Amino acid sequence: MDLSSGVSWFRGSSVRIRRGGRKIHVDPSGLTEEGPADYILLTHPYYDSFSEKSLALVRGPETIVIAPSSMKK
Amino acid sequence: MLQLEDVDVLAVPAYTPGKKFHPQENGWLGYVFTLDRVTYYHAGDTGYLDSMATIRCDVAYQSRQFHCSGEPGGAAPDEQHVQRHRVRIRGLLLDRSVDGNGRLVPGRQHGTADALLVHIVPCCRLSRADYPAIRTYLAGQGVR
Repeated sequence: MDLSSGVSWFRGSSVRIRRGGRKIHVDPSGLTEEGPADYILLTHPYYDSFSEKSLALVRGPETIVIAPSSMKK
Repeated sequence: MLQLEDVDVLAVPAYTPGKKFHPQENGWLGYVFTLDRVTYYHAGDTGYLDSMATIRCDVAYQSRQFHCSGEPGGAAPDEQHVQRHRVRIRGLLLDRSVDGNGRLVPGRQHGTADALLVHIVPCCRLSRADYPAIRTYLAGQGVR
């Protein structure tokens, strides 16, 4: 099993994992073209890891977002 | 542990001990999640924490900030410090590295996978809030 397959890095802490027919983005940022993810995991709100623009690209109507409660507006 | 469709997600602490930046009070997180029998650990923006020794994963991702914790501004990582992470975190370690020409190399592999052992101690409470059309889970210290 190639454990690194399906893992893509964009910048900073932004990583996408595709596996088992699911797509997970962690800290989506630096994205230019990307469809909705099944899950989005946010770790912290720093400028280099949190991008409202990239988040909008991967956040669809069925996307589940998991984030620190401290990031709640 | 959040058990969602096809994925289990555990939120774990991410902070830099002993420093004013990245304090634990921020409630920031890393995640350990299992997808199709592979367990991933994304450390988030954190320094080394003893609790990391309890994490068992197949693939660990650390950002450059993780290397440079304690050295804001991107100073050269402390190799001894980094090696300690590599030893303590069991799993295939992916990170950003710099090649001989100073260019970033995404997804470089630093180690080999240990056996698939999911032995995680839950570190924080998890809560959930439902929003119209989009489900959002809020995790971390304090329940909203």
